[in-house]
Amino acid sequence: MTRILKLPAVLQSLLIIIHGICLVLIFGHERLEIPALLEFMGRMHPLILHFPIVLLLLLALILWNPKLSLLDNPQFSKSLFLVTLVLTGLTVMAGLFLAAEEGYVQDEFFLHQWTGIGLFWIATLWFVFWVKQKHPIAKSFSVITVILIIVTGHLGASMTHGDDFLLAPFRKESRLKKVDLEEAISYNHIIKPILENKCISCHKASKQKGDLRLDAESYILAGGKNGPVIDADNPELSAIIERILLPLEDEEHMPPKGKVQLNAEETELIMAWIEESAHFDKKLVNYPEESRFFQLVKNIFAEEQNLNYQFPFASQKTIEKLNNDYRVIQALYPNSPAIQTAFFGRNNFKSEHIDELNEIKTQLVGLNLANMPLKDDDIRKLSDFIHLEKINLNETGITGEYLNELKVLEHLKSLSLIGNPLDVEHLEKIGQLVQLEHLFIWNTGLNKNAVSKLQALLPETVIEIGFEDDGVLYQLNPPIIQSTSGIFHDKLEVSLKHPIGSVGIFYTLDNSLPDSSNHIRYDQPIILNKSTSLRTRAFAEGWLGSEEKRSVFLKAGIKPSSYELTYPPHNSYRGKGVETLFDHEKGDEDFFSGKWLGFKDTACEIIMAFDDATEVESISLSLLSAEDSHIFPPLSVEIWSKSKGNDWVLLHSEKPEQPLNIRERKQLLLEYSVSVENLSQLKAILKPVNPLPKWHQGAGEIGWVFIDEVLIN
Amino acid sequence: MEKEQIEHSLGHNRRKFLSKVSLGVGSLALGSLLIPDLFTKKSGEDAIMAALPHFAPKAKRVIYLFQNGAPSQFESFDYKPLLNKQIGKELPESIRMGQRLTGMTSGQSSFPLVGSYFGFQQYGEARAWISDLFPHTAKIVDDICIIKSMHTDAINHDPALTFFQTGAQVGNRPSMGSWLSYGLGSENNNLPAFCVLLSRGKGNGQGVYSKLWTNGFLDSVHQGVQFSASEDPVLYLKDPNGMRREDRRRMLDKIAEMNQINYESFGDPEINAKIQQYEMAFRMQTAVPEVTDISKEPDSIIKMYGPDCLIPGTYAANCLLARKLSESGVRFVQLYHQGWDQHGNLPNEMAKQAKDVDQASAALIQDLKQRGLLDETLVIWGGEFGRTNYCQGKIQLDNYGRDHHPRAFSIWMAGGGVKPGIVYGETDEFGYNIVENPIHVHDFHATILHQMGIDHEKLTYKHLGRRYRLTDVHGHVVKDILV
Repeated sequence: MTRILKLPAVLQSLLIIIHGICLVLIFGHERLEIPALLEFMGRMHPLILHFPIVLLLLLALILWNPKLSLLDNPQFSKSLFLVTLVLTGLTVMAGLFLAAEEGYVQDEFFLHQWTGIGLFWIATLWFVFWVKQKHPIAKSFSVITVILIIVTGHLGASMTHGDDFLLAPFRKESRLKKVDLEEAISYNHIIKPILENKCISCHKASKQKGDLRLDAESYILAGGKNGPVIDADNPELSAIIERILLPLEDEEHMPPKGKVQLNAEETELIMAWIEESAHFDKKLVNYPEESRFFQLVKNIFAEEQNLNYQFPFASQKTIEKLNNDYRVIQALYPNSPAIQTAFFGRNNFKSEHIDELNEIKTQLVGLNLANMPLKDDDIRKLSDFIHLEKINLNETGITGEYLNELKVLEHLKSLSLIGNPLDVEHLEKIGQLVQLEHLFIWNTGLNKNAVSKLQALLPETVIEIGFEDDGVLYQLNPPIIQSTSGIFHDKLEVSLKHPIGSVGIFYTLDNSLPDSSNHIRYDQPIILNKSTSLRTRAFAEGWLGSEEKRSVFLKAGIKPSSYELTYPPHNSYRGKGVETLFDHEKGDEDFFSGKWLGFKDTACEIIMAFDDATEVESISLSLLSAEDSHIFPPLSVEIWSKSKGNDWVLLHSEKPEQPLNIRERKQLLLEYSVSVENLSQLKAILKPVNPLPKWHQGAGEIGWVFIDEVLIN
Repeated sequence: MEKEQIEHSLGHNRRKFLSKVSLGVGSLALGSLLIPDLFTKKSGEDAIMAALPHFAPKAKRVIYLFQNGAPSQFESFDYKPLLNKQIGKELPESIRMGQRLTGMTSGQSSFPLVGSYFGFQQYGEARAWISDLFPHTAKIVDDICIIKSMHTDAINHDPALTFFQTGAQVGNRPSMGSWLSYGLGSENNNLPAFCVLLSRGKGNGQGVYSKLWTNGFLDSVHQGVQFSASEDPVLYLKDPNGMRREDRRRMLDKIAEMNQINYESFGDPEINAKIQQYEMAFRMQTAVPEVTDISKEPDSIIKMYGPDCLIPGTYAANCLLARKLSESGVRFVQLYHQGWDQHGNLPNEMAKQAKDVDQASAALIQDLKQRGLLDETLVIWGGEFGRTNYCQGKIQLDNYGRDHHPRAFSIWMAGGGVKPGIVYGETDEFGYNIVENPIHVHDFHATILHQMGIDHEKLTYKHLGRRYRLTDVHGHVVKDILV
């Protein structure tokens, strides 16, 4: 209990001592050498200042509101008041220690210092009158105290965060001074705004950290206590650049950690400016166009201009109302009032859909009507959308009438008219649109003559006339062969097609390459009645003739009464066994399909038996050649026959022509005549190539024979 | 099943219950203090979406010409005369530094260098080296940015392709097109935001699977829609013969009603997605035939893309279709052209592959340009990795092969705010390692998103308790190649 009683007395003495120290410091801090410990204490200023602020405000609140009986205990309330004042005093002391460090000079600091000290004194007076029960006077001092808290606090915050810290969020940041590119001056309009935003709060008349000022040409050139900050000969070594580029954690990094940093663009601008000798009053247009500085600034100007729409935003409700699946309305950029609209779905288009856009006629800068079935009359509606910059009218069917009405759209930069049947008569109307920067006008039926006339009317406009035939002859693609199947019984209808309607399709049926000497021109479906190898090519004026396309069509006449393979096919390509060869299912070039049998280690030897009365004219073997997959024509083919009671007789022995390089995959048809009386059996032996030729990637290995059908007629 | 029934009757399952409860507690505790717009409250994903795009986009749409199988940089854009001089000589260990090999060449005892069978010439203002296989690309060199310093993590096709498409080597993450669809939506509600077109070349092919255009954990409306080469470009879209459009409309209305009832009792967002998909399909029934109709294309366009563009399913036809889709507001058109995996027989196969793609790729750039669309459309050409500077298998001057090489390869980009007419990055004189300005796949993704107006670090989706990004925790925007 006694300790509590003593406490106010101790605090009161302490308060008087602090007042004394503060008085000394006020007049002496500029001449003081501060030891590290006190410097540490000084830096506590921003931390401890919050305690007295809160306590003083609390006390004022209690004092003004007698209903709060918190201070009924006079001992307690006196102690609390004294603690508050001691803390206030300590804050002032810490502030004065902090002020002894370099960098804070004049204006702002001066005011902050004196309001702070004033606050301390006034609050002490408040306490004195409160203790003496002179409540009206105490109350008025409390009011002054509260006002001083607000003023001092604000001044202090401005010093640490910068003058405009509080209001900054309300201002829209513009990176450059608003001025035309032609007028821009290197320092005034480009570099100065950056320094003003990011550097000057600590390097100006009132606060010259490092004895450096960056608020005027002479000061910048003079440098700071560490010497000059700009070195035009070694831009990278300029102190200003070095400091900016140091890692954020580095002591020397500028702006210091906690302050708003320069962004990459600003850093680059300053660097590029110094690279170009750091001129202060050079006009931008006098910089070489390829210099980095010029390029950077030009880009920024271009962007600013883009975002610089002066008209008001359309209401979100209107946009939502107008937006649907066939008319998409969006902001040009995030947070931009400018709107672009695109129409989709030709079948859903109605002319009124354009009228409805009148609600956003101010904001509309881009309009895409491509592919919509427009009438010439519809064009007149567009002249109401006064801020239109870009219009796309491709493939809308307009003839160009009324296009002259778009001349009132002074912002119109780009107009696209591709694929419209433009009438030469309206050429001069288009020619009135002198504001255009780009005009897309190819595939519109206008000839060269007309375009050059238009160019004469629109000397400033870039007219896009599209890809022009460069005279190079390109090869046509081959025709497409269409038929129901590759194997037929009686007869087969085959048609030929080409994606370009106007080409001539030529073909042969005698297994020769179609050329000028032997071709048949295709005009109606071809009827086949025997196994045929069809080869076809396409020709047209202005193109090189196509490569050939060929297809083998097989007529299946007689099925042997039985058949077998002497050696089984390779395990990986065994299909349905020997059945595969007689199932009338042709394989295509995909030899994994199961419709092909593959032989490598053994010959393909097929033995077929026939009933008594069967008359056989020929045997056809359908094979594959795909050299890239080691599939070659057989090394040799032998056809043997056996008539009743006799031995095997060799009918044919052929060595098919071997390829000399890798060719396209294709199907081969080998045909052999058979004229044997009383035929009972036939045998075909196909031997794989062994070894593969030297030029092949598998040289020395054994080749493959692939067969999908055997046909007897 | 019992569990599902209980969940159904409650209209909740464990996960939804927990997330709702935690949201409730969280809002109570923090809401009034921390969330300024508490009364217009948005959930995490909505808030992410509301902030999009993050800044003014340079590109509105992407066309990605994926060269599947990995075209060799040594026969296309990375000219290395040293390899021709040292043909057959061993790749120095100081260059390879023991780096990994695929299973296909790990058994090889020697790694003989092999140079390009095809000649190179310089083109354009950048004096870019381009091989004789790509004469049309050479003509547009001043419009494209050739990047010689791409590198990736994966060494085999499927993981590398998946990595390029989804930012992860394992499957089931959303594809880049899905991320963009999720982030930016479609410009045209009558077509999918993400379309996929496939074509097959004549060279050795590698598979492409629908997991490459998956929506992963994103809502399934963001899945890529494959256009096929058949009479029906989008399968199952046509009404059966004899069905009137009004009948279809009535049917869909009824189904939507029933789905809505289900949605109200289950609360599964996939039901809503389903309703939307039906509606989009209905609109696509008229929009797709309009956009795939090439009969009105003038002759000059056909000549530009080459006559193949009239044959559905070819690369040229897909390039033409890509332009038409992109022109109609499709956010992301993904092409895959197979057949670039030249482990052997490279000169022969590569010549055919190049012939298939060169003219149409260049035509696409020219076509976009003559329509004034190149500025707002980003076009990318490239494969999943590069190929080795040494020969796989037996070496012959005119017949050799190259194995997979992820450490350095070339791609090109055009339009959409990418600097035209430059060559970026450099490899060592063996073409094995990058010596200047490497671009990793994550950087590539970050750059594409950046051009679309998206900060790749902010486009996220929460799944299984953590937020995912296309670039995972990596990626830097390559500012050097941007205008």
